[in-house]
Order: sequence, then C-alpha cells, then structure tokens
Amino acid sequence: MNEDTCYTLPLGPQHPALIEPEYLKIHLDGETIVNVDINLGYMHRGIEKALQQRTYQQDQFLIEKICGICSSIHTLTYCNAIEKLLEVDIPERAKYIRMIVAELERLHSHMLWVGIAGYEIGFDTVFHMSWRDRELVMELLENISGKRVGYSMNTIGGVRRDISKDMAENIRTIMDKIDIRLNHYINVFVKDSTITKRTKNTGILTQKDAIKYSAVGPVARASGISCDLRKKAPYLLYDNVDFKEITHNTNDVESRAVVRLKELLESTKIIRQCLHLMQKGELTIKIPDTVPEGETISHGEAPRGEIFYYARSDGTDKPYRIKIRTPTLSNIHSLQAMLKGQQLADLPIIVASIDPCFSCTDRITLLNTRTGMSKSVDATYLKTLKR
Amino acid sequence: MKMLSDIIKNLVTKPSTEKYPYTKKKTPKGFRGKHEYDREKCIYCGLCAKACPVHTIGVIRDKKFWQLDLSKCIFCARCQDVCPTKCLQLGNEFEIASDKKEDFIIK
Repeated sequence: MNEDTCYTLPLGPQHPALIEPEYLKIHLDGETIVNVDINLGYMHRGIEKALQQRTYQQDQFLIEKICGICSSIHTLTYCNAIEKLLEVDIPERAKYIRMIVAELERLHSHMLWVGIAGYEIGFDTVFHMSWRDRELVMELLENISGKRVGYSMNTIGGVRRDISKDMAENIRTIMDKIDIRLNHYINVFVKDSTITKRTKNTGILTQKDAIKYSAVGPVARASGISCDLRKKAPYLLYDNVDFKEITHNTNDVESRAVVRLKELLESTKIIRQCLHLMQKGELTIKIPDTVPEGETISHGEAPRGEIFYYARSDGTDKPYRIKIRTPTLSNIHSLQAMLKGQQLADLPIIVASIDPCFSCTDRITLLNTRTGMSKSVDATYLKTLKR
Repeated sequence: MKMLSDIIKNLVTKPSTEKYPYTKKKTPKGFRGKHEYDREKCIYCGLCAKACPVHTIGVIRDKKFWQLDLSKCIFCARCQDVCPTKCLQLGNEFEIASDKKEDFIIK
C-alpha cells in the first residue's frame, strides 16, 4: 500500500446511495477500497422503550411505523409472538389474508429495489419502469387495506379487513400482468449489457464470508445459502402452499438481483394459491386485554431477510420487553467483505445491493450522560462485557 | 439493449402519471381519509377515545363533548371499528394540509 495515495473518505450520514442516513468511513488506496468502517445510529428512535409504555393493542400501530416498506411483516411477527403468549390459534382465513398481504409487500419492496438498483448504476429507465409496475401492487394494497403505506391489516387475533370475491379476481389479473413484467426484468438484468457490466463480478460475497458475517435473506441466498424461513421454519400456512426457494451462486450484485426477481415469481404463485385455498370464515377471534406471564420468540421472512421478535409479558396489559432484530442489522456487516478491493464508483450499487433499511436497524447506541458522547456497540466493546 | 422495447413503447403510449392537482384519482372503497362525524348519532360512550393508539380523541360524556385532532391522527381506523352507532366514519378526503391549527380539529 502506498502511503501517498492512501486516504480516508467519510461517506455519509447523508450519502449518495440511499435517502436514509448512515456513516461509512472508507479507507482508499487510489480509487480502490481497502477497508470500510460502518457506523450506525443516526436513526435511533427509542421504539423499544416506547413499546413498553403502550398496551399490546396500541403497540401494533407503533410497530408498523418501524419501517415504511416492510410494515406488514413487522406487525405479523409481533402478532404471532403475542398470539403464542396468549396460546390462541387464529382463523384459517385470517392466516391466508396475512400471507397474501405479506407476499404483496414483498412484491412491492423488491420492485422498489429493482428501481433503486437501476438508479444507482445510472440507468434511470429501469427505475421509472419498475416503479410504474410497482404502482399496480401499491394500488392493490390500497384497495385491500385503505392505505398505500401502513396497511394496519394484522391485529392480535386475526386480520382487520376481508378480501372480497371481486378483489380476489382483481388480484389474480394484476398478478398475471406482474408476472409478464417480472420475466422481462429478469431478462434485462441477466442479458442487458448496460446492466451486467456494472453488476457482474461486483460486490462478491462468497458463501464462506456470508456465513462468517451472518448474512440473511436474499443476500445469503445469492451466495448459495438456503435460508428461507418460509421453508425452514414455516409459520402461518406456508407449508400448505407450493413454492420453490430461490438460491443463486454467482455471489455478485447480479446474483442478488436475480434472486430477488425470481423470488417474486414464487410470491405471485403463493398469492394465487392462497386465493384458491381460502375458505369462508371468521376473520378475528376475541382476545383478552391482558397477556399471561411468559416469554416467547417469533420470526418471519421479511423482504430483506429474517426478522426476529422477542416478547416478554409480566401479566399486565403492557409488554415488559419487546426486542426486535431486523434483517439489515445482520446484512450490513457483510458490506465489509463485499466492498474490499472494489472501485469507489461501485460503492452505491454494492451498498444498495443488500437493500439496507436503516430506520429498521438502528437500535443499539450507548449514550454517556455525563459527557454527552454517544458510541455504537462494536465487537471489542462486547468482549469487555463478557465475564 | 433489452429496455429499448420499453422505451419505444413509451413513445406511443400515454403517460402513466396523472396531473395531480388538475385530475384527481378516485379513492378506493374503504379508504382511510378524514373523519366524518355525525354529532346527532353520537352517544358519547368514549370507546373511540379508549381505542385510539395516539390518544387524539377527547370525550367528556356529561358535557356532550367530542373532539378529534387530525394533526395527531395516524388514520388506523380503530375508532371506526369500535364505534357502536357508526357515527364516526373515515371518509375519502385526503387533502387536509393547512396552516391553521383550527382546521385540524373536528368537533
């Protein structure tokens, strides 16, 4: 390494890849990235503490606000956890509706990502086109739930709104349209030279590194690790429907794009099956205000990977503790492996390729009240805590 | 050049965007917009105030007082779900921006 050409470039908290703030300290040798320090903590909102001060019923609306894109999977996992504590089983129709909304959410989240990926490599046509197609899903979600963002569909004990016959027919026609577009985008991402020149062999995350940095979701699946929780630990009625787990093993940005797009074809398949299997029935069951003492965990497959909830009740109507771990917290560390040896110009697309969501992620920040200094938790600090 | 077909198609199709303030999209059935409150039907039971997750509804039964602050509201529609007389409905109005605080209060 030549000392004259080596320098450190601070990137962020306001940075070019995404609108959400995070701070990357990049050590460069010329234009090549040597190392990267990841600094989180700019979106810390104290949600876990706020959850303890509200009742279980009120919490579900606060939890929805953790992330704007994957709001449904957050409430779904939370409701699953509380239903486990209450030891109740929700009606079958409610389970199918939850699955449909969760898969629609995956559709719009990944299509948003496809647009972002196009935008980051300077191919705005992909961005505009995929967001136009995403609009079909957004309108569908608005028709089902009454809002484009923050659907408020899941509630403890079931779902709040039904899917009528006309609506089901509408969903089916839109899924057909989406399938055609998705096949087109897969073609674009695999064959279009404008895209492949930027995405092939960039941001390599080998299978070994993916395990080492504990990557989850599409990032891990793009490195050949099978880790789809809908298959590995089926929740709701995912074991009743037939779908494939998509893995790809080229380990680069293109691989992540292909995994996401092919996954969506499976999502439309799941939605059609759910609409077919859905029987008439109740939507909710009555549940008490207070939750019996106990603790539980619950997890689900969010669009970005595994989402994890820990809930502990002390027998009152407010939770004693709710701990949330979102997929970006697991995925962000793999950036270190992906970015090493890459060109600086490729940084935005590589950072975007893990589909980071920082408002979900920021949960651990230590604040020294005497000095006012805050610091993020790192491995060395955690080791000092070990006894 | 796989996107070329899209680009050419776009030249001959009409824009997908709408000229928003001039043309307004019809809101779907069950849309969660500004509340429509029917004072005649209300029995001031206070269930909506109890259900509200952000405590934006205030009810005093004896004085027949009911008030909602839209600036705090998150439009979750729980108040609509619990209302026994259905005097409170979430309507289709979504353009509620204003520079006066009074405009956000529904009485």
